[in-house]
Amino acid sequence: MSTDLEPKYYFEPLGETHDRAAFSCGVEALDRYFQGDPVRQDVSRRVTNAFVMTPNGRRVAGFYTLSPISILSVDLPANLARKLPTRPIGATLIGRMGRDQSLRGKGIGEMLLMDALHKAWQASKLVSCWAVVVDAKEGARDFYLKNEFTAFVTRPERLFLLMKKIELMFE
Amino acid sequence: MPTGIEPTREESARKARERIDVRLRPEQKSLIEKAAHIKGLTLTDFIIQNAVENAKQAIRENETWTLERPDAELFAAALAATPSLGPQLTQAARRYKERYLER
Repeated sequence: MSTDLEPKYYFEPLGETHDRAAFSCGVEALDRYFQGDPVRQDVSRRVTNAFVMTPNGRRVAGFYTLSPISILSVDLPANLARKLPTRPIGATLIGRMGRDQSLRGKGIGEMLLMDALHKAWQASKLVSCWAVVVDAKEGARDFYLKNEFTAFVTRPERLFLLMKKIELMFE
Repeated sequence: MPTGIEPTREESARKARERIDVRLRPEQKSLIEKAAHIKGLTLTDFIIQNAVENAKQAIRENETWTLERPDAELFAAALAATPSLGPQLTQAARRYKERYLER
């Protein structure tokens, strides 16, 4: 993996100066979401927060979105039921993540994920959060498995990483 | 579960005035027509019923996600285990911290 790309990139919340139309990760659904109105509508309605990785405040090397999700466990055997509250617990969802396809193989995806995990960890110090959950779009599942996420059984494109593990990364 | 947005039959007839024009591939259309026929529904009713049900599920899942037995077990077992980092996350976190947190 090349290490020469950074530190020329930095992360910031998605704003009006970012050239969303020029961004393409190659996954049509993600591109439609990010290039067009949906991402801006989601952010303005506070459905999700979006962050971009950029070299200059205009060009977008990659982006990801964070939103809250609640997880409710039902039907647990007694020995495991003690481990989980019967109420829904909070988690952070990485709903979408993409890096520009011209920047493949530069470790951008890894840094996007690290920044998302770092923000989720910081937020967990204020608002309780048990895990980071991702919805892996086509081809991205292996990336999350490599990064030590665990896939759910009934919905294998959804994966999780426990906050107590993320804590070990940043403490 | 009453949602407060489901219209009565009279309301449906009165208020079903919005239109959506959708382009789709011929094979998609014939697939949907076949399924609607099997269910004994008009194409319109079939599409609306399925889209509304999917929309509700998407919204529910966005708010609370319910883990059924195999996933609840998986999640609880992970929580019960002592956490440890593998080499990939350890190194990726180190690279991130060097570039973005220690400057």
